Amino acid sequence: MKFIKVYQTLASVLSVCLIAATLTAQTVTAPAAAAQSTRAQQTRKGAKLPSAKKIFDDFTKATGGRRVMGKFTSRVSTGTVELAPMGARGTITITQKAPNKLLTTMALTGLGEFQSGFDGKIGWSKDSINGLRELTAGELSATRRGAQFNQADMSKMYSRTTVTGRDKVGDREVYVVEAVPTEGGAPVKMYFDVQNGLMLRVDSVTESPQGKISVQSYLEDYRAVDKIKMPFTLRQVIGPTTIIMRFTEIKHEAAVNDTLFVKPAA
Amino acid sequence: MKKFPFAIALLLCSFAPLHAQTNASPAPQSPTASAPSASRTEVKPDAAQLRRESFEIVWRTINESHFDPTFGGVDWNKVRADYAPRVAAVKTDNEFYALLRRMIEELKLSHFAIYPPGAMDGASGGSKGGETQKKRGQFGVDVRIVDNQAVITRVVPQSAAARGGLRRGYVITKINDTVVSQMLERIAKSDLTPYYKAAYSVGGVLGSLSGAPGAKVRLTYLDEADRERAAEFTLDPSTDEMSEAFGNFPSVPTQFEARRLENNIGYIRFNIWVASLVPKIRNAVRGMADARGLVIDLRGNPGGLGIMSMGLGGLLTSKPVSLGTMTQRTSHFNFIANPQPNPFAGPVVILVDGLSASTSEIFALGLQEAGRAEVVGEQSAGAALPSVISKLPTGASFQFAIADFKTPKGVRVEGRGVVPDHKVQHTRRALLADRDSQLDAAVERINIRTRADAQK
Repeated sequence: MKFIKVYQTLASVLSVCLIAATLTAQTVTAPAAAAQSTRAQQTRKGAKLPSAKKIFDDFTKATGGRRVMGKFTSRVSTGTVELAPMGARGTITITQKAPNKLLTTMALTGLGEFQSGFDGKIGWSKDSINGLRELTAGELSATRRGAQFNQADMSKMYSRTTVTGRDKVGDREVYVVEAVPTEGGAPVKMYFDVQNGLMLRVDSVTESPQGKISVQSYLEDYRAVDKIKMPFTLRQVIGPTTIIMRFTEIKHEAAVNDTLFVKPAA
Repeated sequence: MKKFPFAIALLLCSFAPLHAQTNASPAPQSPTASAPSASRTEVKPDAAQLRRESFEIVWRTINESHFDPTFGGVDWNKVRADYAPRVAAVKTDNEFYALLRRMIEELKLSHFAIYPPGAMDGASGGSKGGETQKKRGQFGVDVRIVDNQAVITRVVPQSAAARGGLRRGYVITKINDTVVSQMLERIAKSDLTPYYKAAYSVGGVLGSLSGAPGAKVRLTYLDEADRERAAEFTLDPSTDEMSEAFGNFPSVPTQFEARRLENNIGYIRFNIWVASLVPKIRNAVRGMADARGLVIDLRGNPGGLGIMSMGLGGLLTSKPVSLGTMTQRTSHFNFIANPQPNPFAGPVVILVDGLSASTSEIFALGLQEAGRAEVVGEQSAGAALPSVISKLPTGASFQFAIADFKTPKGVRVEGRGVVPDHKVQHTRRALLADRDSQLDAAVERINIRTRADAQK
């Protein structure tokens, strides 16, 4: 679950650096995703719905349970990133450390390196074209939320939760949970698989001086790593844009120095 | 016409441009041509199906993601109803691409285009990032249309043109068998927008001057006394360094120039906004820290990666400056130039002309509106919709705008362009005197500003 939250935050961070910066990659898969979104608005009337807490708890169990998640203090995930179908490609590395440190490094061929980080207090981004800047407002909030390494109790992350109904993500039946972040900001809509409890999709809106970004994140290809189930593919749809991250390796308990997350010198 | 369609130049920038103003610019298509000069594609058994799929993708992509859900008043469903049956009737891919172009032109916006398979590859001439453009020759001039004539505005030192005695202000009248006046007249009579007319005109001349290294070009021109002269030139290998491809944004030839003008005024010129030029631009701006002012020459620069407008802006400002906002249906993104360490503090003048487009316009208009820079030259293209390029099942490339763009004050760049604070046009007389009127005006603006600052 914590891993998913990191991905969720990453979605916002990457959205900013890729969309506001490189002016997006377009994807022909976007229309399909949009169609899914439309279907997701439909609810089945009369069906009894579980509570949000129950859905969150089931998700925690589905991804490995609190005890397993609590065993680890760091994680390094590496993989590829694709801006489809613009055809741009690159590599991505996400480094996390308890309790709330995060560094994402993405290198795009033909464009350069993009980094974003959170050291527990300060969020920042740096890239080869725009240099360094400190995150504020919604961007910082989203980064702070996503940098939480241990997020076993999702209920504490949201001040208000509502299970709005059942729907479908692709061909999977899902519960839809709308949640308001404890620290404020726009509601987040989460979609959990009715059968296996896994989170399949997150809709979020992030507002900051950089703009307002609506992101649909699809979490796919769940696999177990050290008994924790994690999505190895994250597909983000931002308007006509799709960013696809495919992770090839996820390591726990790698040696990670705290200085890695500190805002670098300009 | 040369084998390279003008479409190649359009592909040089995913973000905007409609023309790449380089010495090695490919020849444009005639405005009367119905399609780029891709070789005719034989109909394969599944070609019709691929065309149907491509048509659906193009129509649907615009239908579901166009930033303006009203399509500017165009009934997009009716467009589909009108064009779908015609797709079934086409016999070749080239006919199909022409049909697709007509369909997307219904929107009457820049940054919607269809490029035939291979067009992008042509832009790189087979070269890769960091290399020089091996397969392209270089003639060594830049031209603009001045009083309906193709006038040389720049001669590359030591180039074939320079060695052959060509000078600024000379008028090119004939290139091999192409009579330039006839070409310009044909373009002028077309229903193209002013920007396209300018781009096709200049691109047509430069394209006709292009070719492989060692190729011969027979040129007829008017000298400073209006005497008609003729000469044959041999193209040199291009010295343009290629950028690295970024996805479907191909490797493109780059030009960069940084120098000090008289009275310690910095001058920076680059032909396209690509990442490989970032270090050069950054170093040049920082190297000009002690200059009295800075001229950034974006004339003929068709755009490129939008992110770079913010990056360069950040080198010129001590506080965050919004260059504008890119708006999609459900999101918007602010182009904010965040201050970089030790930004250049002196006066800045940006040079633009009718061939400055897209990222160049966003950068110039944003800094102009913020009061950080004055703009000198001619009104820019008014083609500034953020766009991307995707591949279609037929192998063609589909460029489409993904957002609208407005300045912080709500000025829409598309269709308007940048209106210079000081409008200055080239004159042949000045060019023959080896003067660049627009650059001279830019320098004068800096002199005025620095004098005013000194008196405060």
